[in-house]
Amino acid sequence: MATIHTTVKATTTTRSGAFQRRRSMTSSRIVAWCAIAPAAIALILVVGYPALDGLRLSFSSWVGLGEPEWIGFDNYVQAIGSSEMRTSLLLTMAYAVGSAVIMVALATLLAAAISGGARGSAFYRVVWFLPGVAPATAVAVFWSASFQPGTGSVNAVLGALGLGNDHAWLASQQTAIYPVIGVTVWSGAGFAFLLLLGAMEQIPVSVFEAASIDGASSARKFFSITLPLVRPVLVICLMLEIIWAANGFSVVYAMTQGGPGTATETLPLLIYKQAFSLSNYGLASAMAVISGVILIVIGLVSLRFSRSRQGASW
Amino acid sequence: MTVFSPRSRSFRASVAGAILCVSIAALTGCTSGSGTTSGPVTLRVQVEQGEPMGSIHQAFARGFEATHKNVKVKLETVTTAAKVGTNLTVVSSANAPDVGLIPTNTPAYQSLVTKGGIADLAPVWKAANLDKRYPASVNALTSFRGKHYVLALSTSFYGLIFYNADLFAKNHITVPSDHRIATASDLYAMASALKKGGVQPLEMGGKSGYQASWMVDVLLPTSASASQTTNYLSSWHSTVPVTAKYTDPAFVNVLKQLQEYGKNGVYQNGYLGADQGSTESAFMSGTSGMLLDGSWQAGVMAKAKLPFKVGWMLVPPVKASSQTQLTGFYGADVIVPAKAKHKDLAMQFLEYMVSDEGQQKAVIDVGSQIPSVNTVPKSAFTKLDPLVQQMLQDANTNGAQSGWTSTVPAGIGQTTIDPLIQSMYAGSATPDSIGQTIQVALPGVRAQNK
Repeated sequence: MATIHTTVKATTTTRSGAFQRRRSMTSSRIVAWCAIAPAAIALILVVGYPALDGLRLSFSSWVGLGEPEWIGFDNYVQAIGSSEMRTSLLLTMAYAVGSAVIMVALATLLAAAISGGARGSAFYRVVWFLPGVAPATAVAVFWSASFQPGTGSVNAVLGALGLGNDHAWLASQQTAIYPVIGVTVWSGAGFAFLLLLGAMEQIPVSVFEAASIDGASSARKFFSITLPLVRPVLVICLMLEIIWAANGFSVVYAMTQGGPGTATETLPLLIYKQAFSLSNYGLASAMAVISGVILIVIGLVSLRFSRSRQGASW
Repeated sequence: MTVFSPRSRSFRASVAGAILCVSIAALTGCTSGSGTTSGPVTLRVQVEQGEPMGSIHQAFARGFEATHKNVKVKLETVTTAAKVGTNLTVVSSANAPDVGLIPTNTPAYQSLVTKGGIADLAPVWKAANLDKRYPASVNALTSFRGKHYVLALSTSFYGLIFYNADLFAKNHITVPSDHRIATASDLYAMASALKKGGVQPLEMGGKSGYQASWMVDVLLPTSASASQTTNYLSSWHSTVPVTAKYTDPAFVNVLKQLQEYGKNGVYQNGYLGADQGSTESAFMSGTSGMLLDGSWQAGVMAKAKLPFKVGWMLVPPVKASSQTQLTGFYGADVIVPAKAKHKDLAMQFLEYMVSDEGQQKAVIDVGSQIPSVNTVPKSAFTKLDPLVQQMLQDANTNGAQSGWTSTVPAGIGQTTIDPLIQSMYAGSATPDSIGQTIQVALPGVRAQNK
């Protein structure tokens, strides 16, 4: 009997415990939902609703006033069939990938130098981050003036070096994008630098010490230890910079306004022109949706790549 | 001592009273929209960024406030880019200014007019007698389907060339006595002489988005016949039959002449990467011999007290038998949004703007610009900058013309053709291909303007 009593009691205790645990979990979930509710509501209001409205607009013809007129996929057909859109898309990808790769490569080198114990590291941490703090438009206006032939400071420096002071890169369709990429890199490298420096400083010193004992050179340590171990951050950083550059408006607009002609007309500028200069808000929205989908795909692929490599590395 | 408890009757009564007071105050604020309250009213007026418009509007504000003691005019700056683009969302919003800026050649203007987004200015036309006080051309420009929705503030001339007389003399360049460069060869010779003298030739802001196409406006009437020109200016209306095509020599030859300017080094080094501000700075600092600009810049340069003399001239005609005229811009961009809170007061402000007093004190005295109305006493014109007086005299003698890009909608006009002309200068487009592009775009624009 005693055994039966004990069993019954134990079963009762177990059931009671499970009930209490379930109850506790339920109340935890309620608390969690309450905690995220304000953020979720804010996200729905400031991100979800405008995104859905933009999507709705992309299926409409709208001149900026009155009720949008539903026209189905016409805007998408027009956007995809437009050579202007295709050219702009290719240019945007070239600009974004080019800027991001150079930016991350530069930031990696700078971060490696600082984490390697270069002198004045505290000073350089601030100095390299400063361009990222300056307003993008101000940066673009400053550099735009600096690249002017004859009077610009870049040309003045080149002139002083005997390399000529009349280079007009912004005035040529073949070269205008390069100063824009340069300024994008200049203003964005600081953020990538800080991220990568943080990742590098998380690598245990003992790993480098062991490599040193094994006779590894600095270059070998960089390529075989540093780079593989910061790869997840590197990939995220690259992805973010590509997305930011592809969505960037201020630098390109302030430096070239998309010109000469349409040589630097990236997608954000084309979308701006369609919406605000030509009042084709529906077509502009369709272009924006297509651009957004492409960037989301890039982001997802990068995240996937980052995760798989992360698993392999650690 | 009275203690309010949230549940007490007195507390609830106080809260209800407070809400009532706030509601009454809010309603009072709303009714002030009619402009009938005796309390101070703030009239929100948009003004284009930069000079001379900033100073002109300050003078308008001072003059209006002097006669409307309970009104405070608040000027809200709008950039040129916003004025032709994003400003549509501002003037059509619930927080619209009382006086807004939307140029007639933008799609935004078409949208506002067709969707009832701007007020009919009939009261201003009647009170200011604008049917008679505006020239017929301005009345035509400001009307849409028989009604007037936009006010023209002043007249200015654009697409003309200012030159540094000292540099011209130093480099032995002869200035045309009638303000007209006779042939393209003469222009090339001027540019060449200036370059030999170590300065840049003609400053042009190629990336500004409008200067590259300004000279189309100047040259088109020297290439096309009068009837062709009229058709180019009006064929974007679907009711007007297209008799002059953009692929015709009359239009394409204008572009060919501009292309030759580029090839013959008429412009400064790097002109496609320069904006208007930087070209003005370069000219005013004496590093360039010529500047492509508008009559408003004469007043700006006079105030800057430049250490050299400045003159003005016009580019050579496309056809030698034609004469280049000054190209007028009437600043037709002042509107009253349908959602303006103080519509009646805004109409009164517009009436003041085009009154003889407003035109004299603000447009002439402060802005050194030509009035848009024809009733300002001629004696007032002596206060205009001497260069502007010369231009006015020239326009009275030789006539003036309307600009194509400031008349036709963006779908074929400035927004479309300016990048194409930039590409032509850069070598990736031809005059013929530009003509074809505009001609292909024309039916779409006509369909939108029934």
